[in-house]
Amino acid sequence: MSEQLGLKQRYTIHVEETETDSALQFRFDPSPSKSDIAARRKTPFVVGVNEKPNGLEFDWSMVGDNHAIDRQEIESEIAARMAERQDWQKRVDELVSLIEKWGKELDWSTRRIEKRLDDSRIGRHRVPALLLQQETCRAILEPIGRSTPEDGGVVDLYLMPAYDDIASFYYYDNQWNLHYGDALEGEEDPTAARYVTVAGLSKEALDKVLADMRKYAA
Amino acid sequence: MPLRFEWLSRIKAVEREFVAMRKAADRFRRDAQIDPTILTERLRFGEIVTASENLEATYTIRIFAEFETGARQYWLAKWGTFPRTVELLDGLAARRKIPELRRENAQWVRLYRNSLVHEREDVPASITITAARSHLCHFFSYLPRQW
Repeated sequence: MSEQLGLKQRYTIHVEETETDSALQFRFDPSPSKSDIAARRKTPFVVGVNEKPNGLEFDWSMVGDNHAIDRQEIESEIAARMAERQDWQKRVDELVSLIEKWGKELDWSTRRIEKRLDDSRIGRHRVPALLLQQETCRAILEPIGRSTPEDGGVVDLYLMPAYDDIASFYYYDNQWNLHYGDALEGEEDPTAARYVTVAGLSKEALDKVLADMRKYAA
Repeated sequence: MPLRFEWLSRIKAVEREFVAMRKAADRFRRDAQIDPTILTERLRFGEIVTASENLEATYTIRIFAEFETGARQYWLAKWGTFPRTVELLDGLAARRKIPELRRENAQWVRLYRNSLVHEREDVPASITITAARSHLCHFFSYLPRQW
């Protein structure tokens, strides 16, 4: 009796961007398997997907008449990945918006730039990054990726232009959490005492991090 | 993302990768001392020690390579030539009005990288990867946002 392998065991799945922002292509390459002669005969195939206001639109026109493909199974895998992609982008956007708002209230100039990230599961995508400046002190809030335990996410805050580590925002327990090097007694370099403090995300905590950073940059 | 930030981010990413490998190597070394049976594929404990000791140098070479690739991309787009690395840095410093201290620091990282790659008698003072990243990012930040 042969056991039905899961989709991820049967295929290596690549996510590729197209020229349209909202459209992606999922390429399914059959995984090589010595025991599965049929798998070696299978050919790779590509399924397009387009994000529409009322849901996902699948494009099977590149597949042809391959009856061995379980379309429902493929579409549900793609839908799961697209949902993860949207969640992550939304999560980063929420953090950047919050820091942007607080930064302005704390008298920092802010400017958004776009960062492209690569992720093997959800493909190449764009997220916002944020530049902050107060007088000569500059920082960048830069999304790093979502591949942390529980698929959370990490966004770093760097002092520019040297890209010194100042703080990191980790997503877990359904919220962004701030990890920063609370300067120890007599320690002026916050990067030397990284991640001593874990704080909930608040304007006051951000103010303290930015104030420490300015002291260090001065 | 403007190209300058893209490259700064890539330089920084090499340092982060080093930190990940540092932690992995330290843990593997510790675990192998406790349980040598994890040394499969004819791996010897001494090889872990050597790899661990060379790790920072390996990543310093990589971080400089990332920096140099970005700097060359800008130079090539602007002037279309392929100068030697020493001249690339001096040329950029002159054309982008990069302060002398920043130029010297970037050249120091280059010389240190050279000492790791080639056997040399005049070995410059060693430099940590954190300091190398800082010097290289400082220098790179003088390039235009886009090219």
